[in-house]
Amino acid sequence: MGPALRMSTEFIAGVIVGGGIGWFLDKWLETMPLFLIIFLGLGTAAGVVNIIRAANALSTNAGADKGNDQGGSPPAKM
Amino acid sequence: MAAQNGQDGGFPVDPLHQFEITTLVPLNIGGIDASFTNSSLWMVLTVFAVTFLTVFAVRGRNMIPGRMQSIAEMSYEFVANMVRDNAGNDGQRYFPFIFSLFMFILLANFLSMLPYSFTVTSHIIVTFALAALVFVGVTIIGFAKHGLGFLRLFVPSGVPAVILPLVVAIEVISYLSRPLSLSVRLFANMLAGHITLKVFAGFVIALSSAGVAGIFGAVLPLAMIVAITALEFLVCALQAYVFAVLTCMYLGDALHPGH
Repeated sequence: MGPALRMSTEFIAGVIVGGGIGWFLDKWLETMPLFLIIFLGLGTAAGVVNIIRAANALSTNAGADKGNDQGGSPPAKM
Repeated sequence: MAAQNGQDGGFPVDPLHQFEITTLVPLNIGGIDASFTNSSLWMVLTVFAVTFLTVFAVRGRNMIPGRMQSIAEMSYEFVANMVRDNAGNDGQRYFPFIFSLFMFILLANFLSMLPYSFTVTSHIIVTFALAALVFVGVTIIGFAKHGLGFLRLFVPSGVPAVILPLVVAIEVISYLSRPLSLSVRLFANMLAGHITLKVFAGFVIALSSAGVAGIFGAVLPLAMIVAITALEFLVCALQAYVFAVLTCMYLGDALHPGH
């Protein structure tokens, strides 16, 4: 359950933050649907980026654990 | 506790009752409700537990550590290794913060497993405050260490100039989404776990009040509660670890941007 929940929160957070930024820009500039649509798209992309990073970190750690049980895994950098 | 039982004909236990905030000492500072609640009480107890574990348990300073001293030393080494692996050697300066954060969340989660206790981390405002503290702190460290060079974090190398604005926008949103995902993960895990426990406990009561066959049937959810309680202890430790390890990673990003 742990990794799966992590992926879903990463994705949802991206979408919500993107949508939120768009909504506030629209409130501020009074251009209602324009920025909401743009930033919802960007937010979804950011969510996908988040998931790819989380998955990369997960597989890096799994590979390091398999390689040596000393746990000397390099910092998971993407 | 009266509201917990005997709702007319419905489910015998209200699974959300345990998350209710009750005011213990009313306090009002400048129009802001700053009452001392049950949530505050359990946060104070958590701080006491951490202090006991890290100050008084190691007071003996024995060469051969006792049980409590072993726990304190193991958690110290565990967090120290985590900081070194994920934030690099210059991340060691921030070890006290990460250690406090880890121990606070860990013991808040563990104390929530006591019957009649309150789950501090099951309220999103608590976890979000912790995540926002991490986010703001890490961003300040990044700018203080690298100045505007910290913004390289948002510009991945080797991207064609045409799609660079798009990539930078996505990177910025991805960065801003960190405190949200960090806080929601901890809060959702604790909330879901404790509701599950309560619901299965409700099955036991509902079944056992239905005669002899029901009492035998109630063994199944009771066995589930035992298993889920064990799982919950795992989740408590795991979520504290995940929160701390992600803080270390974000710290590593702030110390070494442009990877």
